[in-house]
Amino acid sequence: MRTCILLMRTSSSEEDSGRLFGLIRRAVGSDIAIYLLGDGVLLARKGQKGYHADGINEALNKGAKVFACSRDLRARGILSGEIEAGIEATDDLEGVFIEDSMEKAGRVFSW
Amino acid sequence: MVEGRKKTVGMMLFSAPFSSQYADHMCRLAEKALEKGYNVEIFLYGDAVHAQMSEQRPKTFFPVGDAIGRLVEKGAAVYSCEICSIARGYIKGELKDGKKDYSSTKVIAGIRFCSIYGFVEMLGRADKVLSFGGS
Repeated sequence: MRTCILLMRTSSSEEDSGRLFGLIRRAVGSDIAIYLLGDGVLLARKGQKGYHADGINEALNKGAKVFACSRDLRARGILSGEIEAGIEATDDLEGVFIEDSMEKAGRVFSW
Repeated sequence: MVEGRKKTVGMMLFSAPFSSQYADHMCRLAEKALEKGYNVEIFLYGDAVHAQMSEQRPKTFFPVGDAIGRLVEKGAAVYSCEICSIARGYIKGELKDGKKDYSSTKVIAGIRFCSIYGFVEMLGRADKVLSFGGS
C-alpha cells in the first residue's frame, strides 16, 4: 500500500522526532513518498546530523521517494547544490502531492 | 484526475493565519486540488476561524483571506466551527425566527457555519483528509 507523508515542519525535539520518524520507519519498506513543504524543506539540506536528518536519510536509503518544494527551498536560501542526494526539488509540489495522495495512496499523513 | 466519480479531499485547519504557514499551505493545496478537478471541503476550527475574516490586508504575508474567498468562488465548501466563531465575535449564532443567526459583516462571503458534527459529516464524504497545524 502506498503511503504519502506531507511534512510541513521539522521536529521540535527528540521526542517529537521519534513520533514523526517512527511513523516513517513503520511505512518504509512499503511504497512511500515524502513531501517536504514550508519549513519541512529544512530537512532536505544535506550533511545534517542528528535526529532531524536521520529519519529522512533512513527513508532515502530504504527506497522512499522524497520531494521538496522548490519555492520554499529558495525562500529559505537552500541552493540546489545543498540538497541531499536523492531528494527531488519540484516547482509543483502541491500538484504532485495532491494527485499522488488522491489517486495512488492508501494512507496519507500530514505533519 | 482519473475518470469516474469525482473524489473529495477534506482539509481541516487548526492554526490562525499569519502565525504560521499552515493556512498558506492549505490554501495552495486546495487551489491545486480544485484545478485538478477534485471536490474540496475545508473545516476551520479553533483559532483557524480567523482565516474567515473579511478585509484582511497583509502587507508581506501570503493573502489568506483572498485565497479563501477565491476557493469559495471556485466551488470549495468552506465550513467554520460556529462555537469557535461565536467565541471570537464573528457571529452571534442566536436563534432568530427559528433559525440561527449567522449573519456577519466580518466574514468572507460564502463561509458556512456548523457545529463540530459538521466536521464529522465532512469526514464521511472525503476520500482523503489532511490536517494543518494545531499544537
